[in-house]
Amino acid sequence: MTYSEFKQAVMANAAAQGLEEYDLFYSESNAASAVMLKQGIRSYLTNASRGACFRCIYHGKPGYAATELFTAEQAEELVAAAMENAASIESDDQVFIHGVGDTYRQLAEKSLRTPTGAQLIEKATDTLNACFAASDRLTDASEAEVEYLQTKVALCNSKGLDLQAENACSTLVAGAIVNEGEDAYIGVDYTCDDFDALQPEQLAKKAVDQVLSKIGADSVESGKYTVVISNETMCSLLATYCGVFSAAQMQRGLSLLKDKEGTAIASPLVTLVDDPFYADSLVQMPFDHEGVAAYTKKVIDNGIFQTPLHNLTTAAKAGCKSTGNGAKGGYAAPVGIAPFTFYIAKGEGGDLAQMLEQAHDGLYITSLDGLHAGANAISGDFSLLAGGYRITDGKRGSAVHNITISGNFFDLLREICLIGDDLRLSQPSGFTCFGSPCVMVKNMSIAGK
Amino acid sequence: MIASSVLKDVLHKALSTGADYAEVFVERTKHKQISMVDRKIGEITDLTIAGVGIRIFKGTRSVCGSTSSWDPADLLRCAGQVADALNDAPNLQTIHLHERLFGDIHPIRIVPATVENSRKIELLKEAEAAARGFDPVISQVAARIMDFDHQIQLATSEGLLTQDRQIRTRIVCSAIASKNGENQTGTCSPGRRMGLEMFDTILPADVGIRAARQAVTMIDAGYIPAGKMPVAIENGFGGVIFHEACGHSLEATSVAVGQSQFCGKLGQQIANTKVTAIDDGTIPNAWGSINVDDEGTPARRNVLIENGILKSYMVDKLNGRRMGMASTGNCRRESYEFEPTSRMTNTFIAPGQDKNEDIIRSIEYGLYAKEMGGGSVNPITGQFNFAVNEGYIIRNGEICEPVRGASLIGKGSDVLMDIDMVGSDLATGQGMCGSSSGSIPVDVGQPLIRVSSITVGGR
Repeated sequence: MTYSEFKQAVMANAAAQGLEEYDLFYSESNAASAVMLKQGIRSYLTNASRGACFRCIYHGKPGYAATELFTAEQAEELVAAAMENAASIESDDQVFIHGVGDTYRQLAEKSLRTPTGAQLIEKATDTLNACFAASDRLTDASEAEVEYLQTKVALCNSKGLDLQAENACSTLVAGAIVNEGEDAYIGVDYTCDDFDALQPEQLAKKAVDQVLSKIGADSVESGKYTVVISNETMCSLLATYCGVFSAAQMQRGLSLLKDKEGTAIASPLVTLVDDPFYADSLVQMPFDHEGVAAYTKKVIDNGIFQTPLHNLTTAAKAGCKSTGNGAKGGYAAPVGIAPFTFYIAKGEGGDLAQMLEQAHDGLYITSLDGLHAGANAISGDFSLLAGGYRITDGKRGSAVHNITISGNFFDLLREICLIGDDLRLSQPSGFTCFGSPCVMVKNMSIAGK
Repeated sequence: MIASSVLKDVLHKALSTGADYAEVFVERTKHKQISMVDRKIGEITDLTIAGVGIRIFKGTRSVCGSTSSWDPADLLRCAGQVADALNDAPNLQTIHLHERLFGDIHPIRIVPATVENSRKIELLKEAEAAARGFDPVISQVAARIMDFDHQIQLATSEGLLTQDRQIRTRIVCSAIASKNGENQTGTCSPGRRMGLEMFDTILPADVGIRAARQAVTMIDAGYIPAGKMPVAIENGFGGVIFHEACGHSLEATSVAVGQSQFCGKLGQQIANTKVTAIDDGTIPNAWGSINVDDEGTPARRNVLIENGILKSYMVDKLNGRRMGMASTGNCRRESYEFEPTSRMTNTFIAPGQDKNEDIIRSIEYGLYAKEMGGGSVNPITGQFNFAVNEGYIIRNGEICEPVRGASLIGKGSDVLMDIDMVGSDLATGQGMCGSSSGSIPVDVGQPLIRVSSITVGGR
């Protein structure tokens, strides 16, 4: 069955079961990727996947069921399973099927070209060749990867809402490896853009410069350091902790920001924005996964906590309006909460060189590993493997690896003492993308030698 | 699942541009999750995953495609797209598919999909209530029960046609202790390749208590001072140290293309002589066990390291071609959407001769890591990290006060040499391992071990 046939079958079954409030969320993705090694192609992969999730309100409770199989039998099972699941729900949280009436922002038409397999392989090959051309010290294992991803989501419901949005993005990754004796060093950089705008040479040079600068990296003495956290690294820290801004987490007592609206939770230098239409972001969304119109809002304004991110359920509980952040972590997941392009606004610290000059002595942190395990969003604590460079006399010095950086995210927000203007965006995931300039924090705990 | 005549047509199409091997992987998975928070059942989801992955090899080149349709026309289209990446003369070999069933060593007494929600909810509530009741500082408990019924079918141009059905059950309980504006968490998440009979031996209340005990212990703990020190790592999930520090670097995924610090080291000493490490996909009903891998090779018990000497890598068919080695039955993928590659199953450090009390007594000042969290590694550099969820200071050979915020970091090849005491009480823990072929269930395990010196991140 096509999706349109399946949709009709599900909606008809729901009505036949006497359901009055329900929706069907659909997601489709088409992806292709190529990974090149010096020895030739490592892998070439194409994916076409689609899935649909039915949600109903049955005796006041929500029920969900999802499938990738679009058959008449599944269209019946989906409705029956969702009703059975709803019957076991105990939570008193109200769930809403959103009606028509919102004004949705029209997105500019983009005519993005879908690259062919041969073009993907060519782009990856160009990137790999550019890496090897940039230095003769790279080992055979260096690789380059290019990926094209096109996504579509659609939402229709019993109140007549029928929305859809499409996005497309290409990502190019250059990886450069140098082996020196028993040690291996890696430089990796990525760029997300329209396929035709990807620049293999530029990216390759960045990855190669990075790996060459890391050769001979060592550890530092354990102690307290002034650190400049790179823009990219700050994006991954923000991604790890973004759940603390969710009203659902606050209402469950799982975020320490509960009841902190209107109070200072960060340094006055920090402004944190959620923007579904951020100009540089490749993912733009006019509506959230409940069909509520998306809009731009400040979550932290000069250090003051303005608003948590809400969906319709948490907003009803808090007695406010949804912030249009209802989000499913995958088509089959229940509606939760997520930001769109979520970024720390640029500060007065200037570019990286100016930030390092201001720091004068300390560490410039360019990588954090183990965020899924060593960072806890409920306590805010983190203790993470880190790498980067010394900052010596206001300049980037020798490379540092095998250290840990430890602290607490909420303390870190308060202790940011300078923010740069080199805002960078992370790779998008779903409709979410993170952004930050580099930031300076004093007295961070570092474990090394 | 899909008729063998259709699979044969798809294989022929996949070979039409000169591939020397083709494979069709068919999947149908039913997954259910019931979650509770705030003492109430809040979310129940059902999901049917269904799709097909098609892969071809030409020498060491691999092309892979997938579709979430089972329609024969869509399968042929997907096979055509995959074949389009090559442009040689067609491989006209005749394919005869002979079905082979390798047997199932993982009996399932209660298939979860056939049990009503109410029974699963009872089990979940037992865990939740036990965690809540453990101590008044427990402010919140989030718990979920999950089951998976993963059916796969494989057909290859070598003529193999086989199927497997993998049923798994897991319960996860997270407790939060709150005091003086601080939160600390504790988690317990056992799982088995079993049906609901898993709860005959793993009592939900014990799961809740374990999670709560950890949160309550950590809410009163101070932060560990940073530095290098000896560490005793407890059995069970402690085995994540071997998984991260060494396991990933022994996967052919990294080794075959020169991206592992253990390339070319077969037969050489890479670990302390006290270390013997095994990957065993054949343990009945263990979380990471399989009957056949996702290429149709039967699961095996592979000794990776014996008394410190590297004996074997974990190899899949494609990387086996690159390395000139046979598959070890380790090829795995999260679903049809991922390109399969060599992965771990149940990986553990084998029991040694040291006594637990001697291990603790040998440490003048160090860390006792009772419960570990997850970690990660870069196989190229060997640098790994993992989190200690429940740690204690060891002073003068005695376990003293609890400490929070510790993480352990190092380089795999160094830490393997530094495992200088190995106890005898092997236990395992369950995890979801993420890598290029997706997130898959694995067991990690070990007895209590001592690492003579490792960098401990703290404050």
